[in-house]
Amino acid sequence: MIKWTEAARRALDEYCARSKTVLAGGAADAEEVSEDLRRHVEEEVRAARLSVVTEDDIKRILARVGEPGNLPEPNSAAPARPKTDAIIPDTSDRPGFALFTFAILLPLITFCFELATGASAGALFDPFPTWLHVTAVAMVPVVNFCMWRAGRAGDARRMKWFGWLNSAVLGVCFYYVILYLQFAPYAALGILFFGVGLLPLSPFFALIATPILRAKYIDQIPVKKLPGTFLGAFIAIALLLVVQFPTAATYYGMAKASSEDSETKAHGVRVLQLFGDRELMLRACYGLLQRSLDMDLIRNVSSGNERISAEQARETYYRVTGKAFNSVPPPALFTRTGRWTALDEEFTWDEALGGDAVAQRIKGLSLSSSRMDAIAYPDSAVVYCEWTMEFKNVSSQQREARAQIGLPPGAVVSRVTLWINGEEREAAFGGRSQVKEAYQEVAVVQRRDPILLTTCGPDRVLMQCFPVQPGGGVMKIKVGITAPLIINAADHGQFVWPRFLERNFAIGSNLKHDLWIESNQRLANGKVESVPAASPDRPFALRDSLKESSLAEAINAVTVFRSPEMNDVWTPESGNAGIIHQSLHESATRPIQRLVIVVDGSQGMKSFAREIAGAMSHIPTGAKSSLILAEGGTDTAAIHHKAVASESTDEIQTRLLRANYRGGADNLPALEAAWDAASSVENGAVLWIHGPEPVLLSAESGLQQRLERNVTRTRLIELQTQTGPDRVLEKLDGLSALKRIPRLGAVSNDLARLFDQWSGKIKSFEFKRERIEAPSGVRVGRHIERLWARDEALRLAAENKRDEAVTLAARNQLVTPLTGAVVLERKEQYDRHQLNPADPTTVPSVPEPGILSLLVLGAFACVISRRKRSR
Amino acid sequence: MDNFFDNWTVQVRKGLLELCILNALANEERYGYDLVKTLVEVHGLGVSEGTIYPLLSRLRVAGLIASRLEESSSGPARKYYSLTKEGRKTMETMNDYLIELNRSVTRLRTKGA
Repeated sequence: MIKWTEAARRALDEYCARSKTVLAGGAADAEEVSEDLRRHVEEEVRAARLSVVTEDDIKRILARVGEPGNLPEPNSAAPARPKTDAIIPDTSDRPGFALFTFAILLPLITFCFELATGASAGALFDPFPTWLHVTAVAMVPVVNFCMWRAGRAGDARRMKWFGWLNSAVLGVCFYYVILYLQFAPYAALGILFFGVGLLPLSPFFALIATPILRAKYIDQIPVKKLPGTFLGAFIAIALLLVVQFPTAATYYGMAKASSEDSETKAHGVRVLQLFGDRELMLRACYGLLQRSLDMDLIRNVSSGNERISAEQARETYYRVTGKAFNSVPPPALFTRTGRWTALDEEFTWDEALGGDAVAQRIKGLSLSSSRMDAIAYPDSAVVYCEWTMEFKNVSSQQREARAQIGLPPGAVVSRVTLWINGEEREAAFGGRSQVKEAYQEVAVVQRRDPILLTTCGPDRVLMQCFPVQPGGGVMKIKVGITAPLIINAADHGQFVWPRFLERNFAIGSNLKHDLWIESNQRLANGKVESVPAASPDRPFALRDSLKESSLAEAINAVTVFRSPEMNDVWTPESGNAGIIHQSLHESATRPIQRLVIVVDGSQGMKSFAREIAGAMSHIPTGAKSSLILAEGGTDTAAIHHKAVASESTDEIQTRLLRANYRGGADNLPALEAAWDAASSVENGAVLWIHGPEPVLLSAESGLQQRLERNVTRTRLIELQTQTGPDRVLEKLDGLSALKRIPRLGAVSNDLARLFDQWSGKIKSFEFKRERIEAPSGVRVGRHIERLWARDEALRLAAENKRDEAVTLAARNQLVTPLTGAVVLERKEQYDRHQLNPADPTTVPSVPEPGILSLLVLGAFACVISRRKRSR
Repeated sequence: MDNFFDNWTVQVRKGLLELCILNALANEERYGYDLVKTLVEVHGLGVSEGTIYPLLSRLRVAGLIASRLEESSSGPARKYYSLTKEGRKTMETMNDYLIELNRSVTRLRTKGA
């Protein structure tokens, strides 16, 4: 509560009364002003936080407030509204409609059109390679409009900003004028003769209109000059050039990396690794940089007019990134900032349709469901697995689904089924060229419903299905695989699920592969417990659902327990009087005299370096060993030198840990050098530890020849660390010198197991399958015959008995390097190609749960009925 | 010279004071004490609080601004001022006039025509 002294109150009253007198008769309301002043003084007192207000306080406040003065009345002769006509400048200099059209409207329309359609990106070059380019071009109509408006209003506010921004816009226009310079004459002719072509000339018009707008604006404001005349333009151009640099460096690098000269190639790869734009490189892999008009100034200047084919780009992509171009999602069609999204997939041409390569990802095509049902036969040490897949096509064109499928080690495809109009149709098995020809004709020419399976490397098959119908069409297929168990101990074996190595379709992040395996003996894997199975014959089962990324993980390998005594089994040979016998026995240890380890130096191997180095301590003592790191492999003399030198385990480990692991390496020169060193003595071995090599970077014939002319019984043992295609491995299919190490755990464990088997610390086992006269051991199902037939066909082929080999493999309905499987739609199609579809009663199968249940119920009913009768 | 300049600035300030009040109210309603303090702080305007209240009253009487009283728990009732429609229109006309005038004056200085 503020206390006022009497004198203080009196002083304020007197001031207010005096104010009233002074203001009386004026235009102001004297009473109101007096009250306002009193209120003001009271506010002052409160603001000063006075508890007691004295006369002195009031006098001090009033001295600051001052005496209320009545300002002079306006001259009665003056007009009520100001007459401005006499002093307002001539408005004919204001920015007008023409400036609005060329500095604002046309740039705006051009910008929106390109952003929405990607027309220039599709036909000429991408004007918006980064979002900074988009912002810069958007700035042209926006800044010009604000300046145009301010100029018309004569508004001088923000004139400094306008000075700099106008200058920057000028720089942007200049930059794009240069880019479109090559096309300008065509656009000008287009306007002259056809009345179209205004949009490509938009930067030219804006370049002229922008400085005019600046001059007009200056005319309307009280200054002679605006800031930033040239500096702003220079900064804008410099910024655009800086952000354009990765694009230019990518074009430059790709041109150099495609050179025949190895040093130039290596230089190009280094440039791309440092500055390359991955998205742009990916677009080159899909052939999207080939445009209808070749007028990309940035590309032409930076690449020296070199044209890069999609094949060259794919090779370069691997060299730079160490990845396959089709292992990542496909790029946007034209540009990352604007595109014909609605027409996206329509323009994706599948150049590999009906061919031997999986090639690029196809838009709109995906795997919509996947399940694997497997039965383990522990006595036969065999697993039969059926992989049922459905492909969906949401594009508006027929699509071919292609994939490389990695089979379990030593497995063979023994059944292929296609659903046509809801019915299962079995495949016909025939010579490789025979089935390919049939597929080509029916799929590519007649565009009917076939599926083709052929091998494409050791333990890998190429699957092709066409057509997956457009507009949501679904194609359902089933692939049956007979796989031997991987035996590393007498009482159990392991089974690894098949997986995709390479594919041209998408797999949604939510899609899971549903897995089921059952057996008459116990099953286990690293994480899933057994569940009861429906079949009384096979009471043990495992169920799992795995995402695509998890399917290939070693932890998901299934352990199938078996009786250690069950080592001799047989089955009658179908169509012959013979017996197919399989025995499992310990393999004799062959000491390694000379070991050359080739480690892939690609980027993807970096994460395995420590594991591989750790496993080196298990190298058998007495084996003379050395390491070659495959790091591009152009200097073959140096590689040979490294192969011949002997190194201690420590030296090998140190080099493994210090290596760069950059880009994608060419393993072939290193393998050849390693083979030469290892094969110089008896019992030499090359251990090749590698990731996927999706592109063949040099000719494979040298290595193939070495492996075929193997007089010193040298072995090439390979271990692939990650799932993916490997073109080198594909070329070594069917060569007996090649051995594969199955992936059952961590890389270090798999390697350590191999080394320990070599040094005899742990046992190793091998199967022997042969045709004999009289049965021996326990009779089992036909799967061992299929595995025997596969090996026998390869043996016959190696002895140049090709026809016999094809007949044997086809009779046993197997996909081998000599034979393939094809499903056609109609009987006459089979007849024309002299093929016979498999008899459904002879194909292997996994009984449906429904059938099993019926059998159980049937057996149960029989038992009840018999009991009733006996009573 | 000084005397002449002082007389001239007095004239200019007198002419601008009402426009300053209207501009100060252009964007929001303002509390009288706060408004007066703001105007007193305007550099070069050189007015005292006592000069402003009669002007506010005159503008209200002319219908260019409106006022309302609001009770306050911490002191005297507060008087709030705001622009009327007519006041806003007048303010815009005055501003336009001043910009044009200023440009013309500057043009005379910079270009001599």
